[in-house]
Amino acid sequence: MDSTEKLFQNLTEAAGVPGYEGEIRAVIRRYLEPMAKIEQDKLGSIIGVKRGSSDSPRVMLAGHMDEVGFMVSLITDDGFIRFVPLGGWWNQVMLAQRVVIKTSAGDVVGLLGAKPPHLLEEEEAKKPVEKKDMYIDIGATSAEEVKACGVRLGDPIIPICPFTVLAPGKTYMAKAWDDRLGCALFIQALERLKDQPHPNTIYAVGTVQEEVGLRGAKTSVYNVNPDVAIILEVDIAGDVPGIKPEESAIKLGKGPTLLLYDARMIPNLRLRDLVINTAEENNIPLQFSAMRGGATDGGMIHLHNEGVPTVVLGVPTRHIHSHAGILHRSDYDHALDLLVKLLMRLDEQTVKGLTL
Amino acid sequence: MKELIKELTEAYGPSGNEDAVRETIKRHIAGHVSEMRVDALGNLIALKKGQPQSGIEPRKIMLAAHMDEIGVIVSQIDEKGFLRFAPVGGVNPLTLLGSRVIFADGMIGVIGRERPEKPDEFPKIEKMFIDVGAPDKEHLTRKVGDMAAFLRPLADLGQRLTAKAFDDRIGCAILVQTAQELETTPHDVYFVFTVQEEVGLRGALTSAFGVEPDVAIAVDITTTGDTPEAYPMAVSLGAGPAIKVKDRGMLAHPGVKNWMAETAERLGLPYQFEVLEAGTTDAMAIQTSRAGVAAGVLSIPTRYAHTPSEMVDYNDVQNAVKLLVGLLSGPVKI
Amino acid sequence: MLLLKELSEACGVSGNEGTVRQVILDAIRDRVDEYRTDALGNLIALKKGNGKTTRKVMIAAHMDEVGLMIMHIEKEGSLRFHPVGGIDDRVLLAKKVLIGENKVPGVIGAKPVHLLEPKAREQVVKFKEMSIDIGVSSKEEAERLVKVGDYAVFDVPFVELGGALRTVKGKAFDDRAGCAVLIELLQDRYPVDLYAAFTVQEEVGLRGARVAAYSIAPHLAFALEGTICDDLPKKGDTSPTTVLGKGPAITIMDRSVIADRRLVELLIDTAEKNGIPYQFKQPALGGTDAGAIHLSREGVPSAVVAVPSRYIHSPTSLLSLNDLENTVQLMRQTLARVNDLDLTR
Repeated sequence: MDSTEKLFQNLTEAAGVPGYEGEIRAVIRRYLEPMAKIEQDKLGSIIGVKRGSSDSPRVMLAGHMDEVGFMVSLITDDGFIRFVPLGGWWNQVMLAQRVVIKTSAGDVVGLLGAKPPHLLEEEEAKKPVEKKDMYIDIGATSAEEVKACGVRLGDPIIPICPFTVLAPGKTYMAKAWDDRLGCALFIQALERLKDQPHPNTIYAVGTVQEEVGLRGAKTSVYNVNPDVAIILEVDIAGDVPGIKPEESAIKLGKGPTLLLYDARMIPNLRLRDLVINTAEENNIPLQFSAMRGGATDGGMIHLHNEGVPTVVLGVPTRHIHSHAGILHRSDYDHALDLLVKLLMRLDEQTVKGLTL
Repeated sequence: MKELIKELTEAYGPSGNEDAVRETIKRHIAGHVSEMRVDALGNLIALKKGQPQSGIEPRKIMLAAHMDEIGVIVSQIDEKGFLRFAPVGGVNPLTLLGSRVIFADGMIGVIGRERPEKPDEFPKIEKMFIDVGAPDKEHLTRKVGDMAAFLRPLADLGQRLTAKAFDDRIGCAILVQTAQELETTPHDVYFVFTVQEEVGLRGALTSAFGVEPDVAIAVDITTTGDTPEAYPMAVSLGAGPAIKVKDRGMLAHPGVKNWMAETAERLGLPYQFEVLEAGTTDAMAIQTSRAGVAAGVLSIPTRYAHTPSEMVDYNDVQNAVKLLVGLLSGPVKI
Repeated sequence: MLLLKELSEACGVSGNEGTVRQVILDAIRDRVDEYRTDALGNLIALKKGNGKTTRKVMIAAHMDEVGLMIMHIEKEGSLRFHPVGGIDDRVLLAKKVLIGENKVPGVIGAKPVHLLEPKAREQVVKFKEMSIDIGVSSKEEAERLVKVGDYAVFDVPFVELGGALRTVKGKAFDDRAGCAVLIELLQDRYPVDLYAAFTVQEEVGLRGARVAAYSIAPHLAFALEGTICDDLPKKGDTSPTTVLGKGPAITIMDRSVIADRRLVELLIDTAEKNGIPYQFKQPALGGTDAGAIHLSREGVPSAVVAVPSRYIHSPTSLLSLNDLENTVQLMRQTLARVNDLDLTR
């Protein structure tokens, strides 16, 4: 494993659903501390400040620390656990998956129970199970047993998926690419610029609670007060059976993506063009995408105070918002190159020129 | 406290028209706070200044309860003087049939319904109207834009009470009672009675920006899972005030949540934890104000929420007051 | 109303309002004391008060219109698109569009009726199944003319129709009508400091208004709009949202704001004292910049005044110049009195 793969492993395997990002925040803090001054907002977002050759412009990089997961909402008399989702989940990727409940008494492993096919009527087998009818089985036979293990209402529940290098050698499978990938990008961007001068001050922000409404973005941007912002996210790869080109033309291995618009933000057009030009000048492939039904931290950040020119850089990823997603190393490397090149170009004059 | 609750629940105050409720609260809270002001949108902000106590770090604490209730707004008036209307806040059409509503000037109307196309058709607001008993349009004094609230007096069932608008007049009552019972506090406590929560947490958004608290606790209602074939939920009437863990709009700050639970334990007060799937409170807007606020919610379990006859347990209400007084009398431990 | 023609024909879909901003700037440059453009593209102009006032009044009209964005170019040269802002799929087929800075003409192709099976004729075609034809035969040819990310607007010229209501038709009366009113208002000086905010991105979430309000920090605000007018054809006993020719429409409540009652009373009183016709917009429909402005900082008392416009959010809308002029009159007279309005509670 090279150092990037180790970083991927450490970031994706850490636990951190919305509101409970403590574990992943500690991992990110360890990586940022040698390179940046650490601050926090009042919701738990972490901010790593790296001063270049100038205090201004203030460049904000945002990747959210939280992953999708669940929360304990009820313990039934028979010892099963009902839950609510934290973030968006399609019910068809949930049954029979393994999860871990983070209790005050330690980790409790469990399983999203599924009816065996022997017992399914033909009609029933054709219908998807609703989330409200699902349950988690931790191998207990009564509510008392469950409580004795330390499980309480409100405990966070994390998917289980170890980081794996896949057979072709250039693709990886892991949970939480959305958005530990963004965190990896800002960590390694800061590493690359450690001894290189850059004409600005970078605020690398691991935001919290993006998946439940871009909440950490709204509060962290308040302290950072940036002049320009780059959001680092996964993008939705459409190169699998079942997704039509009109739905997503994004392919693994064809480069990082630029989000032309999403449900909560239209990017600053001059900044958008700057990204396109920088990619062209440096022979970095770039794909274009749009997301009608989703949003990023940019939605909150670009409307901060008097407005912030903002753009979203994405890395194509298959199967997000499930236990295991897949992405291509070359897309990540190109994204990192592009990000570093952009950071070198965002000086006072360039950033002023983004506003008319 | 039952008199206060009755006065508050029976007051008229649909979103945007909270004046009467605000005046009632001002009367009851004056004399127990150091200063009061009303902001641009109509939020009532009452400050009880802290008195320093050695060993306790003074904090800026905001308590929030909303003054507005759900209601209806006249959208059109037809040739015969019947009033068509739109909902203000989340109104369930089922609760409208046969209900009486009251306008700001005291005029009362009855809600009627067009003949349904199919016998088991789900009632739709577009097919209803308000009848104020005017003989014709010329004798009608109502205008498009007038708002009405449900008309229902409070009934004391002993341990339990039923009334309209416990959401969130019960929160307002609890805040008023807390201000009266809290003799001194080391903290600057802002009792904020917000407007327009039911149409989008609007008063909370702007009042939080102005107050800039360190910690905030909203006091609002939550639903229960203890009625026949109810949606499964772990909260029950009478099992104590509920400490919120999560709802549709916010995840409670774990420190605030734990501080509330530990204080309840220390004082020997009953409490329960709450995860609410549908719905949210003012705390959602306060939590993401400026650089963020450590926010939590103290919820009063309520059956039949958003109907003209909501039901609470009087012990839950009194225990909520005791818990708040206990929290505000000591250090903030988050 | 030559300016309304120029404003209506200018191209400015949400996120790309530059051309419209330029038209407005040229019109107001000599009428205002200061102006600036902010990070999102809002044009904010200040006309200082003529008295000793410190009261700041913000008036917002949005520059953006709903339109399309090119997402993908097919092998044979046709263009796939997404709508920007709310557009009913049913108004798209067979419409003419202009794409990009060079206004490349195209048409949203529709299947001829000969080829439609009876069942297909009853189904709504979704925008995902549509494409724009710019008359080329290959992707390479297309890429010489347009690119992914280009905006497209409806190709609709402004035409005066006349009649007793002096009607005109054109695109984007929502909200070029509001912009036209605001430009007229800037001719005069008032007893208050007037901040005219020509906002961006209202159609995709009131975004420009939010940041403009934050930086202006006004004491009170008005939003000027082109609003829903569905009075034709008449539907039974129920009354329409607004009626063409009945004057400016005052909002009591829409989905984004409950208008401040004192401002509403002032508008009504001003209209009645000056013999200006007015109507109320049917409550609970739509949203405007006031939704974002009234929640700024510690709250801003706000109201909405709109010019009734038929068929908004479709390629061709229609309004009455009488209504437009009465809206200007109402706002002009209201601004003359708003300094004395008691805003204490």
